[in-house]
Amino acid sequence: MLLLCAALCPALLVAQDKTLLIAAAADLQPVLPKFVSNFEKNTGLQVKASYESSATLATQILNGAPFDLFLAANRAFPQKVIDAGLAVEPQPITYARGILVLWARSNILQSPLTMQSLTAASVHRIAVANPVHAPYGTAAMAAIRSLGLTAILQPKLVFAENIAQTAEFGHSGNAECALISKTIAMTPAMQQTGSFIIVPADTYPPLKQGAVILRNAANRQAAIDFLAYMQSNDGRNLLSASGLEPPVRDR
Amino acid sequence: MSDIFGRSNGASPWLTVQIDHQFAHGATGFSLHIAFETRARRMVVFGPSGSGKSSLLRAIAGLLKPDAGKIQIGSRIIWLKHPGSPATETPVERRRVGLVMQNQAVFPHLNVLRNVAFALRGMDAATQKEKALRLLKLVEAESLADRWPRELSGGQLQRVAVARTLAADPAVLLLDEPFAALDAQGRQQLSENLHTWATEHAIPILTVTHNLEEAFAAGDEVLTMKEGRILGQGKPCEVLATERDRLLFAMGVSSTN
Amino acid sequence: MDTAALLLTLRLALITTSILLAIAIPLAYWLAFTRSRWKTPIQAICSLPLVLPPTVLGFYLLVGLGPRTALGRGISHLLGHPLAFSFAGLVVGSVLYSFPFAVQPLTAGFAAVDGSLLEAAATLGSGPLDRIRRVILPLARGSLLTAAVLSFAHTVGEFGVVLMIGGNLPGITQTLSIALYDQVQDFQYAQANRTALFLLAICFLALTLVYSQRRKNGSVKSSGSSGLV
Repeated sequence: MLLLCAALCPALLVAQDKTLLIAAAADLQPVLPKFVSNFEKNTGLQVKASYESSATLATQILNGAPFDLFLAANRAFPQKVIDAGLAVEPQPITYARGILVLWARSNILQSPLTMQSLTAASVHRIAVANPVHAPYGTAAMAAIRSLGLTAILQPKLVFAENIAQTAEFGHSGNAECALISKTIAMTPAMQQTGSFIIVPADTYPPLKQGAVILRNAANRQAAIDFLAYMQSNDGRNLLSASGLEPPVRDR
Repeated sequence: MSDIFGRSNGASPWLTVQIDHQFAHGATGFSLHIAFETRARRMVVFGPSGSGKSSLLRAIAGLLKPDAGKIQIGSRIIWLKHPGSPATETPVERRRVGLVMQNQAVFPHLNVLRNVAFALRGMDAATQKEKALRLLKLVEAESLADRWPRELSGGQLQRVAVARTLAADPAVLLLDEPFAALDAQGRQQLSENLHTWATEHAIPILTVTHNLEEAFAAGDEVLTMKEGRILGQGKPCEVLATERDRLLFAMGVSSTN
Repeated sequence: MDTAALLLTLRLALITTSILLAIAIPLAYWLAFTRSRWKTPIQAICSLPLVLPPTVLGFYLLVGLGPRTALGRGISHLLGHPLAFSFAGLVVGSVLYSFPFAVQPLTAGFAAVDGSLLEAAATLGSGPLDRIRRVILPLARGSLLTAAVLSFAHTVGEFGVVLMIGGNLPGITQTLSIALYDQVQDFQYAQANRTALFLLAICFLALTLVYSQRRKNGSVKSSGSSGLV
């Protein structure tokens, strides 16, 4: 038994070294798996992603969590990591632009679905991500504000911890509508139970989703490669197909 | 003088008991098989420890549910069970059977006065207090009214337990070695007071004891038991003759029967 | 510190504790004195929340009692609104979550009451309810306090369930532990520290209360004379 352990140990250590650990914002949950499987196939490396709200991930990283790559839903949280001296670059790298959508359960609202539909009496609860923790929540509140709907919608809002929980509130029927990411709205579960429209992009500041490679990364090269893959042509196509907009090419 | 059920003394038994009960299964189990009735208003059940005397009292009070049998007080059937079928019974709290147990079971969270007054429901505080004090006087424990059970000796607790049971207005009184913790004088005094009270209120008393002297003093009729069976029933001098002779012999006095 | 969150938390804990005691007292009586073969499985069920992750409980409340199930729709109908995102939802979650903290001490306390005292009370004309009120509860006073204090403290600290179904509505479902979480997420560490210390103080106070009264009541037993007869 001991011999078996002794034999396995080096193998395990090696495996750990070769596992790329990604801290990923919750809106990437339906998106990354495709990237991950392609990357693993091409490089033979293992990839593990943790999906949480951007705030939670930033907190964990600031307190020493051993991630290699941080993919957030905005640039502010990665900036915090940079300010703490934990990142390689001086600035976050924008890897995608998030798209905010309004999702509504089937048979609740008259079509066509618009932001104004949220004021209908049949809408009792609107799920929004907590604007303090989740960039999509900040965007949602900004959109509501710029459309002048804050006063009328405030009593209906319920706040979820991250964008995934926001969607779950809608999916489970506890909220009739939810302001979520397009990536999650496009998942089969959400498509089956409701429909969505894109929230006009001019109603909220652009969701520039930023990435940083961590200074203490055990697999810095793998992180660099993964990010490069996301920014390649294939990567950009995959992003579009998943509900994210590729970043504007500034090179 | 008629008893509390309206029948004149001696016309019909105040207690009819028939019990068949197995305490533990298998050859080593103890079983109780008894059947008797009595008209004697002061009855004693005599026997060594383990003979089933306490179980008999517990069954009459309703704390033991025999496998089969019938228990009747006067014309009231308080327990009836045929083997295999459910029992017909009066619940314990409605049987009006006063039971003073060996372990007294005085409530530790109430003082003596409130212990005695436990069963006095539906009356104002002043009446309760007056009745309780009267009963404490009967058991010569009036001075203990404000004391707490944990401060009392075994003998004092026994007095309190008796007073408490009387307060519940029982139809019959069952005493299980009630005076064991008292000295001879205390025992005699309390016994007299109790029997006077019982006669006044026309309440029959059944006393369980293994004390020969007490058996002679407390009963007009004695039921002797051994190993869960009845050995004999009758007047004390008849039924307890052998016991008395043995005691006298052991004390070095020859029999003068 | 956030007063709204504090008041909400205290209100939740108080209401939950009251409901729990009302349910737990008769249940504990049954568990302490029954000989039914259902006793063991029911005890296991009552203790389930001890090992069940609170997020699991929250999840089932969210989905299982949400508008997509018949049961959930029934509850909606009863309350006038879905269970989630409401104070009522938190109460339901807290009652379930703190259940064993009320039932277990009470059951142990009731079972510890000297059986001969209950027998004596019965022969003195005291029925089951009367016995609970006048003999069992006074003698099990310590367990009652323990049950109340532990349920209260446990509810104050509840997080997982509230996170799952609360919706983080200030004044309605934003409890102190959620506020603490928000403060940490918002990098307001000084404030978070204050909130955390306060929560810690409540728990410490609760435990001190429980242990001090245990020592006081340690010697209350039946006062039958020992060894005579």
